[in-house]
Amino acid sequence: MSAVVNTAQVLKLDLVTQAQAGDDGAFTALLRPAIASAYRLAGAMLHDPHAAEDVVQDASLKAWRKLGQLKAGAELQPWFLGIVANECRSVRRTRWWSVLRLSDPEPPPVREGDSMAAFADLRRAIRRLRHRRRLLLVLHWYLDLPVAEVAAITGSSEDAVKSELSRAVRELRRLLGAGEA
Amino acid sequence: MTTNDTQLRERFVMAMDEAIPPAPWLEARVTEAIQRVPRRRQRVLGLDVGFDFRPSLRVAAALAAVLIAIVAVGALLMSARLHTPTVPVKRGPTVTSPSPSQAEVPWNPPDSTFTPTTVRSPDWPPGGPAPAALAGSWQPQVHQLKTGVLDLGGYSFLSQIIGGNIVVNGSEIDFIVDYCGVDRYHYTLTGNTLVLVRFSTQCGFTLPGTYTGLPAP
Repeated sequence: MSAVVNTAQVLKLDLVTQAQAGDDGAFTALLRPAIASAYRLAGAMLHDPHAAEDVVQDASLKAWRKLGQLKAGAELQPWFLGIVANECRSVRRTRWWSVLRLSDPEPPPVREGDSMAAFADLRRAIRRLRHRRRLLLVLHWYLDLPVAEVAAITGSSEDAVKSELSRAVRELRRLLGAGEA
Repeated sequence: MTTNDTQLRERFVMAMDEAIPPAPWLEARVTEAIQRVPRRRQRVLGLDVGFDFRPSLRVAAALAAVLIAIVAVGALLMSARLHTPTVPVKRGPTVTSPSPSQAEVPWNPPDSTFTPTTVRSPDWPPGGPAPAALAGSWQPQVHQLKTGVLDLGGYSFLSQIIGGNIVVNGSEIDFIVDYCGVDRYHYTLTGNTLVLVRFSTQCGFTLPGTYTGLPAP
């Protein structure tokens, strides 16, 4: 098993080397497993599937151009998700987006039922979280990434991520309570 | 994580899943985009740095390029201004020349051979052609930027920056440029030294000063 893991790691390192040498096939082979996570991350951050697709594409091109900055032996996925998170923040910072999105009403639920309305409230509360707290919750809860990887993506220590996650959960509860009140 | 946290997390995931439809085409879209845009590799001092320069550096490089272009264009324009007349020569009816070549060139452009005209226009102020003592080339004694050697002869003059016609009336010499008017000077000639003092100007050229006659070629 260990030999298999080592072989996989060697292959991955080889792909990174090839990609850094300009081999787009090697790069897409490395990137492919991360695209679904990147899309879910962008979708959860932006609450807009079309914008999320654009962000993933832009981030992929940016990663392709900046692949030389990937440190030797580093994993591609955390580095790539970091780029996606930054792209999401850039998109949200633009004024037109803020104006457009803040005035957007929550789309009516597709299915009927109380749970759908509750999800809408939850999404509204998530949207009101600060970027960093929302990012931590999305990475840890929605993408199910371990704290260590969340820390690698956000460039923080694990302890900082844990305490910020606790604050994010508290704030989310407070926002949900305020919404229900 | 408490039970409440676990429940909230489950709801969080469901709420997100509901809002984010699957996009199975995205992988192909990204792959195609990457293939369309080949990664540009950069070499600095012969070393392959393997990535693009930062956007701020690209912006700085673009600004530097624009600045260099502006300086280059400015230098070209300045150079052209120093070596050619600032305004095209107007071929007015006031100057008639005895030969077709003189008619086409009422005054000699700088750096060309000075060919004085002997034909006078009735529109000019009273006066005659340059007397023999004035005719010839005059070197400014103190360096005068742009003026350079002043050629006088017949009804013509030519300096580094401007050329036109002259009429001499006693101690007055009028420099006539058909597109701007007449600059009027007093001149004194002592031996080989010519002194020009302007007392009226319409064109504002910098011709006044002390000149030394140059020997005829």
